Amino acid sequence: MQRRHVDKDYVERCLDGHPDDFRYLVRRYQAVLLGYLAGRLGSRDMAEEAAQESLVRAYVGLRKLRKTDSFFAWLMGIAGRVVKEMQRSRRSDVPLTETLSETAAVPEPGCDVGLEQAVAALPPPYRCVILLRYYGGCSCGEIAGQLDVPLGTVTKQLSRAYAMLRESLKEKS
Amino acid sequence: MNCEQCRINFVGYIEGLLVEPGKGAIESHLATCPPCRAELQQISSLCDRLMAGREIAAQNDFEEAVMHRISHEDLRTRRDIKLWRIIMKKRITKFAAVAAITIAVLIGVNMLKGTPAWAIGQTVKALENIQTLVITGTDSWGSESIPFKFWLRFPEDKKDSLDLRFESEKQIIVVQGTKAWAYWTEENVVKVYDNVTTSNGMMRDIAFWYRITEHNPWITGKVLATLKLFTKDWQENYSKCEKTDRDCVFVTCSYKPLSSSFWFVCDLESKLVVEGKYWRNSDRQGPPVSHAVSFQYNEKIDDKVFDYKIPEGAKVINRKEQKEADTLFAHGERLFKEKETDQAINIFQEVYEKYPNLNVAESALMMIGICYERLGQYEKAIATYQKSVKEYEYLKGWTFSTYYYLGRSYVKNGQKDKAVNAFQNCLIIGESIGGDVDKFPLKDARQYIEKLKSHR
Repeated sequence: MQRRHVDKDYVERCLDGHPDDFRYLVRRYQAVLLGYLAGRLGSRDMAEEAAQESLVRAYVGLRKLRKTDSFFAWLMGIAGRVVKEMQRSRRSDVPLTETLSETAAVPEPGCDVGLEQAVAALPPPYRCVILLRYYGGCSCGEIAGQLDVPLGTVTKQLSRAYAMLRESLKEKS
Repeated sequence: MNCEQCRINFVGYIEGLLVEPGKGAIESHLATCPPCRAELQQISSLCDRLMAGREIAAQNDFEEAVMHRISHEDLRTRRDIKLWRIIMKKRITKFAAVAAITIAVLIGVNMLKGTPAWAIGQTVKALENIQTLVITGTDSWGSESIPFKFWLRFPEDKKDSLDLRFESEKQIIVVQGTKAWAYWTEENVVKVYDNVTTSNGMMRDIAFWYRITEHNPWITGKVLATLKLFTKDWQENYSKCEKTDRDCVFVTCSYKPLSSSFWFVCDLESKLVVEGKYWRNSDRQGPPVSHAVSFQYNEKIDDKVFDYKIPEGAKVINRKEQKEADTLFAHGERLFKEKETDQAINIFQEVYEKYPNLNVAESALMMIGICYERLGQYEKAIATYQKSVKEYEYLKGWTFSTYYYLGRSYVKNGQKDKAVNAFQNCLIIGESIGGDVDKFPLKDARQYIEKLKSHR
């Protein structure tokens, strides 16, 4: 339960006029966001841009967050909206996309595009546990505390997520 | 333990969550069941792959980049957050806030009795209903003050279209429905924007001109309305306007982060702007950058005003060509950012050779010089900058930056006297076109000159 309370503490510190404490939330969720967004957008550069935008929007809109202990779920919702906006603007900017299509098609070095896309395509509850476990570096116990669910639910969701990921990766290959 | 019971517990087993005797039972089953061993192996491989993905996800400067952006977000957000929290934390403060607002409204209503009520929102609303507008005034170009005239017409039947003409001795801009021209008189260059298509009620290709009208404080007033929310020194004085002999409100305000300040007058009956001044500093020092002296609303404008004929001998640049050049230049910038300096030089060279008549060619030459500087090839950098300022001397708005980089290369190459000359050229040209002396590159050029002179 400790992790969830820490999120809440930092959110409240920011709301009380200590903006620099937002840094701890950035540190905690940057990898989770980047992992998720790279899968959705298919580019690390765009993922980084989207992750920055999501965090800045989260900061600016922090006052609207009613349950301060639900920061992570709220942040992921913002990230989802940013992805949609970026995808829309990419579609409307045809000449630029055409020009860049050559470079965009080349996978970035060290990037497991297939896996990132498979993770991004998981249903939200399964995606959430995978992101927290692997990109957020949380243990199963910490995820249970974070999401306020029993430990058994987390292991079952992880188990199901692995099965779905394997299926999805098999289809792609 | 059977296979199903074993597999259900794989995650717990991998995560080290199982205790005896469950853990031992799984291990015993695995020892005798090759399919379950293979299944466990596959899940473990997937976990390793996920773990590897995690290691490459984090970026070194990501946190600082976010915090930097946050620090530049509007300070008001923080102030509001803090105030909101103080109010909402306790029930008593909530009641106090409600009471304070009620009293303030009551006092305000009473104070307004007998005084002319005006709010910037009313001006924005009034400006929404205009069909035509003609503004005359002066613009500052360095020490020069140049008269301009600006015509604007929103066709009644086409809400997503406009006709516009801006004319001064330096520049003529004409937007006629789906066509647009921008002509620079000294350079004798005209940019043509044609085949404009509409998309969702907004013309994409000439969105720039819409932005000009949208952001011109005197045309929509929206900039002023936004400013009212942020500025700390918004002041309204109500008195008779000498020019019109009507009741008016005189407003002054400034916005330090953008080094801008305004003075404008609105008629209290029509709510429309009747005069306005804009400074590129935050304390209305010196002559304004733009002074809109007279405003005529909803008067018929002759169609001929929005006609445009390309002058004979003018260099014509079309939008497609400009876009291609910009895209290629952006590709060069990306390579430069990714430290692919040699490749970046090739791309910038291509921009220069393919589009020598566009302003971006001058920027491309400047970037080639910067690339050579990065590679430590200062003589090549100097030669490139010199070529740039010689070939594009008429682009006064841009060459002062090139002079700065030229000076910097001279410094690195040990040619101090030539460096001082280059920095002085940067200052002279930059200041003559009204560049901000407290910002890059003018500020840096001045510092270099002081430093170089003190070492003599």
